[in-house]
Amino acid sequence: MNGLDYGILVGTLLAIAVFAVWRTRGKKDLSGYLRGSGNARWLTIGLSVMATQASAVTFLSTPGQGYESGMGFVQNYFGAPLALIVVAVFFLPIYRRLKVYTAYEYLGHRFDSKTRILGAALFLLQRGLGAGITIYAPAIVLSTVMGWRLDATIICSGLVVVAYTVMGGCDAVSLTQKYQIGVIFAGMVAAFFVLLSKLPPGLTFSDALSVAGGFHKLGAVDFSLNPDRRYTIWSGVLGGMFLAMSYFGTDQSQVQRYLGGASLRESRLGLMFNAVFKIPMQAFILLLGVLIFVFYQFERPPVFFNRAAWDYQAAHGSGAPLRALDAAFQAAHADERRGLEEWIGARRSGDVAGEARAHAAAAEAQGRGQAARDGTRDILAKAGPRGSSNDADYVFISFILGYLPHGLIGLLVTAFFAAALSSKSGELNALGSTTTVDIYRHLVRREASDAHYVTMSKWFTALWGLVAIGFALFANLSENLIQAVNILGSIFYGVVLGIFLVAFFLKRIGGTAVFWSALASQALVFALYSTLSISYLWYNVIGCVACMGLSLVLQGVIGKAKA
Amino acid sequence: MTEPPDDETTGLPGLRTWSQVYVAVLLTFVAWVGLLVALDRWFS
Repeated sequence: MNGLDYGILVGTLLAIAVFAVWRTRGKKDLSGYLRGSGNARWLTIGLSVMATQASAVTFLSTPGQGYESGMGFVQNYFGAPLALIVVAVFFLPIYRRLKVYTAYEYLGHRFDSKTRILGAALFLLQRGLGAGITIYAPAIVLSTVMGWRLDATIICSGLVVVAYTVMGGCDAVSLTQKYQIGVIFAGMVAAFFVLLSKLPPGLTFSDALSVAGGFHKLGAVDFSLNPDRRYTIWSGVLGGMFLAMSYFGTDQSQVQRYLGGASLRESRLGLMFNAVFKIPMQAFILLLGVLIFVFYQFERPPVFFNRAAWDYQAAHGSGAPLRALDAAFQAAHADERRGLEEWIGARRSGDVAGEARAHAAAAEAQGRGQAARDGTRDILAKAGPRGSSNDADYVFISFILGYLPHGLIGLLVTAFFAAALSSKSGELNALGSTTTVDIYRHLVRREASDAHYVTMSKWFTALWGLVAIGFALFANLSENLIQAVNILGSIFYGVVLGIFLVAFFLKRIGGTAVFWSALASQALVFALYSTLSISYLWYNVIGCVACMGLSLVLQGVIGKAKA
Repeated sequence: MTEPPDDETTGLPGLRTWSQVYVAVLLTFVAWVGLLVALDRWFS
C-alpha cells in the first residue's frame, strides 16, 4: 500500500464516523439512543441489517471459499428468505406493538423474569464470546499480509468503532452502516471488473465460467440427502431457515436494526430487501473467488497463500520438504495451464475428442497440484498455530495486493475495515442495550431517569468494546477457535428460537415450563454436538424442536400436578 | 404513537398486499436457485 491507499483508508473511515456522529449529535432520551429517532426508511434498515450480518470475514474469507470449494457455500443462505418472511409476519408486529427495546424484554412480557434473563444471558454469552472475533479475524489477516502490528491494527479499528457507537447510539450505527456498505459494494464491484480485465487475452467471461465448471467450481446446489455433508439444499433451506429465523428474529444485534423503522411498513420492506438480495450478494462474492481460481489457472499462484506462515516454516526446519512441494506444485501448474489452453482451443474448433483429452490432462495436473497444496498444509498444520494450515482467508487479499492498482487497493482494504466496523458497531450497540435494559434496569436499578440509563448504556457499550479489544489482543486465537465460536453460535441459536416460537405460537405454555425445557434442550444439543458429526446447521433445528416439544410435555406435567 | 394497522398498503407498484410481497419474495428465491442450477448445468 502506498500513500494514496492509506489516504483512502484513513480518510474514508474517519469521514464516515465523524459525519455520523455530527449528524446524530444532540441530547437523546433512552428510546432515541437505543432504538434511534424512529424515522428510518426501508433502505436504511435493509442496508443496516445487511451490514450487521456481513462482517469483514464475509468479504475476506468467502472469495477464498469460492476459490477452494466453489459456490456450494451459498446454500447456507437458502433458508434466509423464508425466515425473514416469518420474522416480518410474526415477530416484527409484536415487537413494535409492545414498543420493546430488546427482543428479550418481550419474553418478560410473555413469560416471566427468569425466562427474559435466560434469553438475554444466552445472547450476551454468545455475542460476548464472539465480540473479539469480529475485530480479530480481519486484523490477523490484514496485519499478516501488510506487515502491520497486530495489536495496533486491533486497537485502532476497535477504538474508532467504540467511539462512534458510544457517542451516536443506534442512529449513528445505522447511518455509518449505510455508507460503509456502499464502500463495500463499490470495492467488490471494482474488484470484479479488474479481475475480468486481468483474464488472459481472448478468454471471454463465458470461457472463464467453462473453465470453472470443468473443475466443478460452479456446483452451487447439492441435492444429496447425506446429512454429513455440510452444505446441501436441504440443510440450507431447513437448517439455514432456523438459523436465520433465530438470528434475524431473536438476536438483538439484528432486532435493534429494524425496531427503529419509521413504520411497520418500512421495517418490513427493510427485511424483504434482505430476503431478495442476500442470496445474490453471497453468490456474487463466491463467484469472485471462482474467477480468482480461473485467473490463477493462467497466472502462477503461490503453493500456499499465507506467505508469512510459509516463509516462517521454510526458515525454521521444514525448508526442504516445503520447497520440494512448491516445485511439484509449479510443475503441475505449468502442465495444467498447457492442458487448459489446448482445451479452450479444442472447444472453439469443435474438436470434441481433443477437448476431452485436454480436459483430462488438465484435471490430472490439477490433482497433482492439489496434492502438493495438501502436503504443504499438512506440514504447516503440524508446525502448530504459527504455521496456520488454512490459507483460504489469504486468497482474495493476496490477489488484491498483487494485481490491483494503487487507489483500488486502498478502496478494497477500506471495504474490509468498513465491514469489520459495521458489524462490530451493531454488536456493541446490542450488547450495551441488552445489558442496560435486561440486566441493569431490570435487576439492579428499576427506577431512574432516562438520562441515567443513557449514561449507563454508553458505559456498557464502551465496556463491551474494551472487552472485545482485550479479547482480540490477548486471547491469541487460532483459526480453529474462530470456527468453534461460529459453531457455538449455531448451537445456542436453536434453543433461543425455540423459546420465542413457544412464546408466539404455544399460548398455553408458561414461563417455568419453557425455562426448564430450554435448559434441558441446551444440554441435549451440547451432548449431541460432542457425539455426532452432522452439519452444524442441523443443531438449530434440533435445539428448537427439542425446546418446543419439551415445553409441551412439561407444561402438561405441571398442569396435571396443579390439578 | 399509534401503530398503523397490520394490513397497511405496501407502497409497492403491482404488489398491493403483504401476501403478494411474500409470494414475490419466494418466487425470487426459486428463481435464484434455478439460475444457480442452470449456471452449473450450462457450464459443466
